Amino acid sequence: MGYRILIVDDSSTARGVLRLMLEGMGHQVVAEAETSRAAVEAYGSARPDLVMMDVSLPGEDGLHALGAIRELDPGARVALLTGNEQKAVRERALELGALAVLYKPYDARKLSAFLKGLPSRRPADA
Amino acid sequence: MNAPRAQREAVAAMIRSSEPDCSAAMSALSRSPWTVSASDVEEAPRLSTEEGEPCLGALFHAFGDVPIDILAVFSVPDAHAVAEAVTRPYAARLPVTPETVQDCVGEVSNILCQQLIRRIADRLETSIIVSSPAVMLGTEGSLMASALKEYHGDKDTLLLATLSLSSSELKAECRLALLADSRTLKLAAAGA
Repeated sequence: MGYRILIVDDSSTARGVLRLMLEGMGHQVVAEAETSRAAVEAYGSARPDLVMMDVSLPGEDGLHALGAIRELDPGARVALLTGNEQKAVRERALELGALAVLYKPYDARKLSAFLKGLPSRRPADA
Repeated sequence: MNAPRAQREAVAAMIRSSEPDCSAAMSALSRSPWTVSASDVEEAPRLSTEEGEPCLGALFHAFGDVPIDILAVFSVPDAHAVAEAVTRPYAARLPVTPETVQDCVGEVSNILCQQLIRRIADRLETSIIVSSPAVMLGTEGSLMASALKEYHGDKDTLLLATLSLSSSELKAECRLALLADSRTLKLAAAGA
C-alpha cells in the first residue's frame, strides 16, 4: 500500500524529482512545502503518513520544523533529507525524533528499501 | 588578507580528499558515471565586477560559530549543461527551464560544498549547518564581490579552487570559493 507523503524542499526541481520517484513507487504526494513554517501548516492540514524534509531550508531549518511537527503530532513520521553527512547533525535529527536521515542525492533502491521498511505509525513519545 | 601556503595546501587537501565522494554523489544524481577533480587552491584574484561572462553562483552561509561561507560558480553554458545532465533521467516529465537550471546549480553546488564543509567540521571537531543556497546571476567578479560583502567573518580570506566535472556527455567547471577568517583557516590547517 502506498503512503501519503508531504515533501518539504525549497528547490522545486528537487521536489519534482522526489515526487516522480515516490509516485513511481506507488506512493502519493499529498502536499509540498518550501519552508519550515509552510511544512508545519501543510502537516496540520494534510496529516500525511510520512514527511520527507530537507534540512537546509530558507529561514528556520528542517530540524526546527521537525521539532514543531513532532510537537503538533508526537506520532509523526519524519525523514530528513540532507547532503550534510556530519555525524553530529544526524545525531541531533534523531534526538529530535526523526525516523531516519537520508542522504542526497537519493538512491532509488535505498529510498525504496527505506519506505518498505517503515514501521507502522509511531507511538507518541512520552 | 594573505593565507599562508600551509593553509592553502590544507584546504586543497580537504577538497582533493572529497573528489571520490563528489564523483559518487554526482554519478548517483545523474545515474551515469562522473568524475570530479580539483585544482590547487589559490587566493582569489581581484576580478572586474562588470567584465566577464555571465555566471550562476550558489552562496552557502554557515550558521553557528564557524564563520565560513562557500560560493560555487558555474558559467551559464556550464550551468545549463549540468542541469541537462542531472535531469536527463527525468527529461520526459521534468523539462529544463531557467528555474530548473537555478535549482540544479543549487543542488549540485550543495553536493560539492557539503563535502568540503564536512571535512572542515571534522577538522574543527564541530558540526556546521549551512543555509539553503542563494543562487545569483552575475559575472564571476560580481558574484565574489557580493559574497565578500555578505560575509560576516573577521579579516576574511577568499580561497579559490576549480573543480572539473566530467562524464561521458559533459565537461563543466565549477569555481569553488571558500570565505573564511584567519582563525578558522589556522584551526582547519592544524593537524593537516
